[in-house]
Amino acid sequence: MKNKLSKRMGLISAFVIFFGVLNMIALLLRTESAIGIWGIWETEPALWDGEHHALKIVILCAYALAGLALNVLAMMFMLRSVKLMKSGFFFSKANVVVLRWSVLAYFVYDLCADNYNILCGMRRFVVQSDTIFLTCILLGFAMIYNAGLRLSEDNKLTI
Amino acid sequence: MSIIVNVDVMLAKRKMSSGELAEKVGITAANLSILKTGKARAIRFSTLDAICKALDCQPGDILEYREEEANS
Repeated sequence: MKNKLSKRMGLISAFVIFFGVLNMIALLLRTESAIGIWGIWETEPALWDGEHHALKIVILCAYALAGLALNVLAMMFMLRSVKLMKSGFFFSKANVVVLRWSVLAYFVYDLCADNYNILCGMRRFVVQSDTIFLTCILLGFAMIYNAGLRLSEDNKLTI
Repeated sequence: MSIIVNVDVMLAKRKMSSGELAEKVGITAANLSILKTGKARAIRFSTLDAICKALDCQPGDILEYREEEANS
């Protein structure tokens, strides 16, 4: 069963890495298009001459950085989980830290993605319910993972 | 923790080495060391049973409750 689970985790990790890399490339292309370096990404261009200049810079930077961080953290989590599974354990303290940072990265990324249109001249700043809902679910998962880690440590120290 | 493990005392009384006990009980020397140093979070009844059998003693001879002094 452990072998089967390990194989499945390996497969999911491969998907996460593949789509993570694609997503990171897309993020970089979209960001450089918004800045207006090459304009490879076919999208509505950002308006830098209007008002709320500082807010636009913050949204773009946070969007790019949080997006990249989220992808890197997801890949780290999956690769570590596969490695842990091979060594006979399921949980690690390092992954708890990764999950906690992922929650923050996801929240910032989703919030900035929802408000990306501000760069194109839209005036409304929105906080959508799905951003809060999914952040709470991710936070809940991080807490459950942490509880799992404690149980696993207890189990390891049971003689 | 307020629970003290007195395996060392019993080992000395029975003139038995840790390695010998670990072998008789069927646990690793590392795990026996965790137990002796009080780092263990829990002990299985099956392990306790095997230790009592190997040392010919009662669980109370191995485990002791000592109230912790409050830090002032």
